Amino acid sequence: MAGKLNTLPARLILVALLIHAVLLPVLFFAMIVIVEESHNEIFVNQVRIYSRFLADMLETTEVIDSDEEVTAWLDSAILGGDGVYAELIDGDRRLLSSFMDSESPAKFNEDFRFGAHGDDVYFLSVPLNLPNHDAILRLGFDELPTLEQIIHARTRALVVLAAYLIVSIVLLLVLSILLMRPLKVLRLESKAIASGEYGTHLEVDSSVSEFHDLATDLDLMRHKLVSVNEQLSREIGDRKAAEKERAALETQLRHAQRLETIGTLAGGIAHEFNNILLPILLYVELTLDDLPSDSPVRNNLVRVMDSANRAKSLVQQILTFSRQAGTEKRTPTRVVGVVNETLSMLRALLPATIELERDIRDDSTNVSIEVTQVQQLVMNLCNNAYQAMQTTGGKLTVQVTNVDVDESFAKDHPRLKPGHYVKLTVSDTGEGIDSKTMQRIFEPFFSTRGVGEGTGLGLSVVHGITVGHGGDIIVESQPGLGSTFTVLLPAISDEASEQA
Amino acid sequence: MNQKRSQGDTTARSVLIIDDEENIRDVLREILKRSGFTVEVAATGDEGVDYLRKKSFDVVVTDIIMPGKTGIDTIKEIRSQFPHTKIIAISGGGMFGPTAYRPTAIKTNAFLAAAIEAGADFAFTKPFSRQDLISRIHALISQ
Repeated sequence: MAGKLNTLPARLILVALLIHAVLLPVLFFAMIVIVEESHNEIFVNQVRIYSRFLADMLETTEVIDSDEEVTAWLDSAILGGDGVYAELIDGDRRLLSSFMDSESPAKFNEDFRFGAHGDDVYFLSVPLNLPNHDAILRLGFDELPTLEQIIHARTRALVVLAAYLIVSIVLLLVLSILLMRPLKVLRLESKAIASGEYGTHLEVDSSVSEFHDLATDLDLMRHKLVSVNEQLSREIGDRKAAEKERAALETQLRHAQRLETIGTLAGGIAHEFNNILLPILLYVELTLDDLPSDSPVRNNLVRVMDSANRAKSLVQQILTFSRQAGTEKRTPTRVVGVVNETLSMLRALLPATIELERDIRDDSTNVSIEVTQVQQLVMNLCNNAYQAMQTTGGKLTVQVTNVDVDESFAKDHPRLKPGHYVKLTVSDTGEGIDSKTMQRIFEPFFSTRGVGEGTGLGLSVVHGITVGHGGDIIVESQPGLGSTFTVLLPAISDEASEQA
Repeated sequence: MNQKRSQGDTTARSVLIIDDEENIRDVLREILKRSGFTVEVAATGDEGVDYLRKKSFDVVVTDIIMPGKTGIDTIKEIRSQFPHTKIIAISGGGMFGPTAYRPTAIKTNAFLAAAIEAGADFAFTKPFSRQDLISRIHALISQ
């Protein structure tokens, strides 16, 4: 119920009722007073005029002398004017109207205003100016008819005011409904906007300027809100994208920093290592010189040399890995030449269970390379292939050809630009690489071998060398069947190689 | 003071070794003595230069990364003061130093390239074989 009082029509009516509750009674009583007083005045005037008339009549005619005629006049006064009392007092002579009884004179009570004495009769005395003597005419008139008229008027006034009240309330209702309609329209439109229909225009079909202006202003607000909303969405989108990018860059940076730290560490260790290895190797050499050739300890010392040499190559790998820029002179070299040399070395090292096949096209394409680095690259790849087939044996294939890299291939391999390349392929028929391991094989120190077997640096060095020369490396593998590593190195033009 | 020696002269050649590692000084001295050279050793660049002022040497073999006066500075000083002395630089490499990219750098070490630029005649990475060192010394002396 209380909720209903909050609506505009209810409030308007409530206020109207309150105002009327105060004003209408005031109005009503004012009206009644006016009516009453005018009725009273008329009555009294009429009565007095009539009475005077009667008095004049009696003064001017000779009726006064005859008791019978006076009585007749008194009767006519009563009959003609709503009278209830008519008496003539002439000295000792008292004459009453025949309609009155003898007790009536006691009731005479002169009134100077209507309704006085509450006896419903208006008594008045009129002095008669007769030639010889004075007399008094006493009359009384019935106030009841007038009172009834007043009451009647009162009732009618009440009815009128009630009708007025009802009409005014109805009018208020209508007015409020008319007012409500544009507001309702605005409300519906606002709701539509709030629920996402940003295209809904705010407008009202009303001639009232306030509503029109309100609708216009609200629509303006809608425009602003919609555009701000869009802007915010865009900004949030941009910010999210930037956030993503930043996170990706951060990851990259951390990765690079980690590599750099490892690199610095490795570099520092390598330096010390080399300083330590030199005396070891040289002293062993000297000792071997001093020993007789049939000395039993020769063998032991030779083994010491072997170990020290292995340590030397390990440190070399570490240094290659930790270096930041190629510092060796790059010479135009036929990759074929380097590969052949390396394979010769390799053939000696591989057991019989591994078949070595070489598919070397004898062509003269050069790449600008650091010879030792490419040696290392080939060695590491072959070593990796060998290790994959260590227990089972198998076939190691090394292939060198020329290829051309076109636009679409370059798109898939962003490190490469379209052009001529030398392709080096090392394949094995070993255990293969599963997809999980595949993601990590070029990581430094990542190894699928046990502790002590290999450094985990081989492939990361290969990767570093390849990329450092402007090339790329691609791995294909099927677990159980084998793997193929493809290294692409950019070829240099013949003119450049001839100038070398 | 430093007479130019002709090829095939059997007078003992003198070599000065500068390295902060005692083991390296000792083993190099031993190796070169056995090959017939007269050898002196110094532990720092300053010590080495002092030696050179007192005595002349045919070849100086100096480490690059040393505490105190760096190998590079030592090489520069020797080259400017003793233009006829041959200088061989040796380095363990690895630690970062003059790492500006040198397209003509040899043997993967910017240090060694820096040594050549400073005036060294040749540069070796440690560990090297004694044969390489001895051959190189002979080659330099006979230039």
